[in-house]
Amino acid sequence: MAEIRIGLVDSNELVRFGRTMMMNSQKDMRVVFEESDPKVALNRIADYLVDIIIVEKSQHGFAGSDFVSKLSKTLKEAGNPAKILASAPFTSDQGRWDSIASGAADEVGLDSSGSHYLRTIRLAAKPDYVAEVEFIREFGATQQKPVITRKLAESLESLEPQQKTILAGFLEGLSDQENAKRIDIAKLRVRQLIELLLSAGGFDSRGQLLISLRDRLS
Amino acid sequence: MIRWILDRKWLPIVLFSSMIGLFSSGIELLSSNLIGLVVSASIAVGVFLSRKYSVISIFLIPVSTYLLATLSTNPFLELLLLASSVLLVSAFGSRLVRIGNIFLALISSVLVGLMLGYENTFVPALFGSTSNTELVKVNSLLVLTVGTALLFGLAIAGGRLSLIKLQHVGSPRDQAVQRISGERLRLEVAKQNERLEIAKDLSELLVQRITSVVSVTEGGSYAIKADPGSAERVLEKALGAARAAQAELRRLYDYLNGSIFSELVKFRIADLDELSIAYRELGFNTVIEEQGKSFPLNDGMELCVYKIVFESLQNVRKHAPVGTEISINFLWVEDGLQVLIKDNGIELANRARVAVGEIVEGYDVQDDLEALVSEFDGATLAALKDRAAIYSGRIEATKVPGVGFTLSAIFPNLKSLANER
Repeated sequence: MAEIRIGLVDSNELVRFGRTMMMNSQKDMRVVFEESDPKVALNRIADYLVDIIIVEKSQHGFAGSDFVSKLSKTLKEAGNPAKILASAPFTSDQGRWDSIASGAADEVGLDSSGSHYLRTIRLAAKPDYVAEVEFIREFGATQQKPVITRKLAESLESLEPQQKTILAGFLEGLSDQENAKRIDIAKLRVRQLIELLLSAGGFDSRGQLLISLRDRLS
Repeated sequence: MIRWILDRKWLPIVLFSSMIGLFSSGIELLSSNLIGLVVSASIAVGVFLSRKYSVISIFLIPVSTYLLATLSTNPFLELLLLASSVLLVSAFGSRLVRIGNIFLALISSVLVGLMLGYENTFVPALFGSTSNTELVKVNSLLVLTVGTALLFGLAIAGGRLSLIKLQHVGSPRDQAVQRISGERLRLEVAKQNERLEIAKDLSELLVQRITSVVSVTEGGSYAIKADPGSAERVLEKALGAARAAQAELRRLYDYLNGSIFSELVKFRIADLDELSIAYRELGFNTVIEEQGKSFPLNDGMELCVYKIVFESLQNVRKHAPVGTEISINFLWVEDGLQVLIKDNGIELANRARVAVGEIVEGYDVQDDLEALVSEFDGATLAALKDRAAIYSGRIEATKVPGVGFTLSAIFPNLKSLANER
């Protein structure tokens, strides 16, 4: 089993201590760095060789989910494929939505159980992870209408039938593997299409793409 | 007058109607017109009934008009007095009565036009004419009808406006009281807002502490399964986290149950000008003077100074007689500020006692000594002292024998503190 390399950015030393103990107790997880200062984390993030970075969402000096958003952009610019998992003191749909919209793969509340916390890390560390389609559709209905850039709209218009099928699979919440298997193509083709759409929309994460295309969810 | 009548049950209206009656009687008696007293009685009764029994009062208007036109030697003066009854009904009557008042006042106007204008030579004589043609009669009728209608119209409008002003705008005194009460409420709201803000901050810290406890204990429970040797370390950390959470909870508890806290400020020293105007309206001659070059203060300091002056003024209002002079002095020095609030309440009270014949002894050495050594205390003063202490300030309240009280607030290094914060 491949080990998930984890980075932890949280200003609370005791939270880091507890969560590190928990994650290091798992055979498939290893916390490879901890950081308490968000600004230092932003400066060094490009060099971290990790699969997932768990960040405390509300950081001193950053409003709302700004820190997640900045971290996500920095990772993208550096070409670092690490995923971001936001953490918050309490679980809330609005908080989760904001984190995903800011570029995090998902959000986990520190009030959730340890097993849920660990399960979320394992899921979010996967390269093709996106939050449940049902959550995006249902909670998204209460949010502002998505704005699709012209470039993304043109890309969507020019999709070939097979690509449309791939996109439909993505919007159903299929993993890249399941999507590829369904129409018997290479997994790479699926990933390429999603990358193309991410680039056209200027998104940092698959979650942001899903949020922006939620009107097309069945 | 309207307020006076409204505040008491019968006394004002009895006095006012008596005054009208006596004045009217005097006019008639000056002309040796005894029968004219009937007119006076009719007008006085109309005024007397205008508040409680305004329905009867409005029917007395045309009756009095008829009587004054037929029996009075000075009908126009009597008409003026009758207008006071119209005014009072307009102020105190119900909607229906007020409509009746207008209607009957119009009838009375026509009656005056007919009886004093058409059938009388009074108006032509007023303009030096002796002619008594139909045209002159009609003109007299019109002039007196319109004139009387205007007089009654003014009375109706005046009565209604007085009451509306009293109810919806208030007298200058009402407005001053309202302004002071509004300022007090603003202070209270600001205080509660800040209290909430600080409680919110403390709650957030508490959430972090509790989260730490949960994280350490939960992480520990996983770690102990993998490495039982880590138990001691986990327990130590968990205990430390729990103690920190408990301490934070205690701070929140103390804060929510405490009474001394700083307020969020929307109050400025400049706002005191408005407050001094309000006190002047209440009869306290309040003057604000500034000496030296002022420097910017932070919000908390501004509020602190404002609150000191506000409470001092309240205190003067509570204990000193109306007419007391209050002076508020701001002495700005290089790094500090002194605020002096002085009043001459004792002096004024003594003068009033002397005026009514009381013997007031002057102050002696004992009074001077007491003034030097005695300290005033009380909940408000204690709160002000606590507030001033936040900014290294001290407050002293002293009695000036034979004069009044002085409150001095000294902030020796306010400027440095303002820059620090």
